[in-house]
Amino acid sequence: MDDLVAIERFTGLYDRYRNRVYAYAVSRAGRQLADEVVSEVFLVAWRRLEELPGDPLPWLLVTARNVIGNEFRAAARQESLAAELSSWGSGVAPDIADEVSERQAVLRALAVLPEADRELLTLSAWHGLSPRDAASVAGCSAATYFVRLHRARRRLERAMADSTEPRFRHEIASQQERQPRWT
Amino acid sequence: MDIMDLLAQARPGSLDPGLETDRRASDLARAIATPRAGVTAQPGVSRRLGARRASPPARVIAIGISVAAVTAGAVVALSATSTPSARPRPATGTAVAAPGGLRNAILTAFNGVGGDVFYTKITEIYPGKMSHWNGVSQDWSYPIQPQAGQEVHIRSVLVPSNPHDKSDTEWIYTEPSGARAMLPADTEIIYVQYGNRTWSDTTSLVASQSPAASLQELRESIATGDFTAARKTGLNGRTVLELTAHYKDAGQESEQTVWVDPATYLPVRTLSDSAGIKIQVDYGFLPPTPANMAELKAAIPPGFTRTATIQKGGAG
Repeated sequence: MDDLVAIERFTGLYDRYRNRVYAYAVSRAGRQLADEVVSEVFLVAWRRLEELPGDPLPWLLVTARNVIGNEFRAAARQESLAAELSSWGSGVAPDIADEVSERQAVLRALAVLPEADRELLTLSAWHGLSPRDAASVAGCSAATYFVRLHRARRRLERAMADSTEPRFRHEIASQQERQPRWT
Repeated sequence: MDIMDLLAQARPGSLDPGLETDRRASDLARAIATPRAGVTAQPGVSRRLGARRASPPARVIAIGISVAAVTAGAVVALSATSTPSARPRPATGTAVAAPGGLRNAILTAFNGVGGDVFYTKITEIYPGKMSHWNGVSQDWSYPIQPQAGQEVHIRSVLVPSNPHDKSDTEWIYTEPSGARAMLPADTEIIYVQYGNRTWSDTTSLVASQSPAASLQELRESIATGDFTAARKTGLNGRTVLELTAHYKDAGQESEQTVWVDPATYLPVRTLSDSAGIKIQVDYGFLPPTPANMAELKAAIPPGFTRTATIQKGGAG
């Protein structure tokens, strides 16, 4: 591929998908590492530009998944992700509106799920991937993906319910000086 | 409401990046400045140590001509490395400062070297069998922190384990401004290839990363407090301050040490050790005297033949 053509194609790829890769990186590794993940992903994309499929998003997210798993110390990744998850479930008073309360509750519930569940749920709900593409990013067949997604949904619902238990209510009440309205 | 719909509505705003055009340019440039598949880059210096991949001390790659001058290193002993015409030292004390004070002193010193010639000598030490790219790399760049519109000079001399692969490359370009910083710019490249005894002087579109980028990475490591222990010790007959950082990654430990001149608080040497792979970088911050500026020029040995273009397979 001619280099100018390659640069043009790469720039278009970057402009179109950078935010999608960034969002995935934040959801898997937190904001502290997301920019570096994005840089690494597009570095790989540049090197393998001619291998990219017509719809490159799953490929880019798989690459991001590998970068997150391979390029960072586990402790650094967990620290960054913990900070991210913590920020999702805090910062907004729960009495503003029911809608906000529900949003906070689902984010808190998501934060306590296993990482694999969180990835499956967000690939579909946040990153807009089709089941087939989400399965390819998660590294499983479409059939397996549906089974795993079903289980992850059940666990998310359970975590939502658990968030109304006394321990959690006490935590919220102590932070906000009142119980959340969804209880 | 279905839980998946609820989850979709709860998508956090933090998943959307801010308006960081400079970072975008940096990402783009970093990728474009890296060879694509089929173009061989010299491995080694970008090897990950600690939490993140270390930036190559020098990376200047010409687009379309397959030139990748990435520093490499040879297996040599951890011996003394003299730096030419070193900057005279200010008459300051040599006591070991408190860790926080020492960190601040080093960061302040980094800010004061913008107009110097930056010199690095990189040595890589591998366990077991030596690879093709084991060798020594010496780089000079000026200025360390170029301003927009300023002419930048970078020279890189690579001496891999096979002397046949030795090269001497000089880049000259005008520092781009604003959002174009680090994007490809017209660059004069003087490339001397020892294998076929040729040299060329061409202009190409090049995305450059100054060797001084490694200094910025070291600065960030120090600023974030990675280096926790400090002691006074000797290095090549001079007193230096030694700072050490330890990392553990998936059960694999690595260590990075930086030795700092107690008079200037500038780094003298760093040594990264991970899984038996050692990367040593010796630093020099040289005043822009005629002698030091002359080091920025590629040396063309007598008898070498000039070619119209860079010969593929040389430095790429």
